[in-house]
Amino acid sequence: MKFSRLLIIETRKRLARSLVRFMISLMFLPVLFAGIGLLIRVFYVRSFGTWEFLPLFYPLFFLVTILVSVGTVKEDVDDNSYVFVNILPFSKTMYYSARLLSSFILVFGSFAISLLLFYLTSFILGSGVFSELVSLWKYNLGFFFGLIAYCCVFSFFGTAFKKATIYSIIYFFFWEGIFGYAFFFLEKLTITFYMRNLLPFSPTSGFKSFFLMRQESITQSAAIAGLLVFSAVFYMAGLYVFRKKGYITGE
Amino acid sequence: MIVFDNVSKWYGEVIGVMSVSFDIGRGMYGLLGPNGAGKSTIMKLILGLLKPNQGSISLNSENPLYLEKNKGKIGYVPEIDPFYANEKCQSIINRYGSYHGLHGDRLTDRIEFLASIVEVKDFMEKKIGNCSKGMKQRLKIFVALLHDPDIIILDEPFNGLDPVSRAKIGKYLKSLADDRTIMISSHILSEVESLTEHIILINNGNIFATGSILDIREKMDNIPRKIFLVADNINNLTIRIINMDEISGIEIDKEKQGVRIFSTRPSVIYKEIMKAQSENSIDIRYLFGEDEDLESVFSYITDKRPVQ
Repeated sequence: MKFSRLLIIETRKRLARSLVRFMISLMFLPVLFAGIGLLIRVFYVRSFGTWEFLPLFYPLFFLVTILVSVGTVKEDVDDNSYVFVNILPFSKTMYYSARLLSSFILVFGSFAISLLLFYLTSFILGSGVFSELVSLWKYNLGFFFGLIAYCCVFSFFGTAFKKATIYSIIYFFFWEGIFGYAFFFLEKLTITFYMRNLLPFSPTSGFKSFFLMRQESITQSAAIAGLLVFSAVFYMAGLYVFRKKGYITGE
Repeated sequence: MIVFDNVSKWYGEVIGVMSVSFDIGRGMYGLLGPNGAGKSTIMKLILGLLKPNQGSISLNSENPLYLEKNKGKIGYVPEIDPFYANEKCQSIINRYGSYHGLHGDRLTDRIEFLASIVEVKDFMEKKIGNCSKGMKQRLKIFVALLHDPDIIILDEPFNGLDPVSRAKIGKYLKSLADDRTIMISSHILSEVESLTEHIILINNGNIFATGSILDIREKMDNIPRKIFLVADNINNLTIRIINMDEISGIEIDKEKQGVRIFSTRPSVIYKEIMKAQSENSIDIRYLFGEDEDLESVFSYITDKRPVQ
């Protein structure tokens, strides 16, 4: 079986899950608010802006990343369809990789589309600047590479631990949240550090920096390399655990 | 071919199976034993879902934990529900078809053929969560057989199925058994008995016996066999055999108007009964080995009274 075929099947399968669909729809919340803002602006307050909703993207981005990525293997384990994985015509490595990539596609796809729609809505309102769209995509390059790393980390948690969602939230808010902004070597052990060094410009007034501020400790190529190393380490760790772990407890 | 060589599996301090050895080739094999005997553990070991703590397993010369050439050639009906509750049955069938490279007309033809044996068409559009136990069971069997596998492992496949479906599916499985390896576990003993003569009896994680029901019963020589006889002039026979060494006891069943003979060597008793018949000293109306069926054998190993 081809990897691309398996990726399509698994992505579709995950899209059929109500939790995944809910998470993806959650990512479109800022667009909904922007739409409401549009109505308020047209009918009530002419000065009403939509940029205030932009920071909403970032907590949503991380929340959706955690919940979708944790489910990379866990979804199949929870509904018992995991019992077929060993006998279906693809390797466990292929299965894990396809599921991991499906997590990435689902999160980044919904994030990117939602952000684009948000900008377009704001542009219609006249409160957005179309030229910023290009900068926005550059800015999101950081998120693109960061997301790969986060998907690998949270997929690993979902594969290795039963209470993976809790561990992922703790990891994100405590480890990343504290050490990502520390001024010593520990910051280099966080994804946040590399993402901040990858941002192409400092967020300005229009672009609220709820989570990430630009940092220039290392070059952008070094930041990408750091994120890729992070991704590779956790991808290998997740795959190792997945191949070794018996999810079936027996009679 | 499936080979177990001295395989043990334990979960912490709980023994799943202990020093299990057997080898099976083409044909259908019934795996029987009470709850917790180790049947599902054996099946999961075959499928590579569990790693043995000791011993080795070979599935067509491959270690089940690292299957390569046998991937996609195995069909499995697990005891648990293995599908996401919110997914439609049609979507599940299509997806499993896709896994095995079945698309378009090939998939449609296969579904048409299989649906004539395992009836799923009346609930294809239902979500799994809204299906009855019987529907879920039929879907599991359908998916397991969809890709026409070489090795079929069925864990309690008839649970929740109506008698007509059981008969149809049983007949189909029997027809497949000539050139495939099929292992079936069930609590519905009479059905296993009607499907196959090859039985593996397991209890407390140990293989208790293998072979046909009669072979297994023969091996249980510490438990006297029961021969039930209804005949005219039956006293002529009882007087004749009562002092024989092979007789463990004789019981008169007033309700059924016959005698129950207990013997550790029933072949000698059968011979004596036939001799009495040929000498016209008795006239046999009914002669039956009461505990030679699977149900009785099964009851003995689980320390229950055999069904009368």
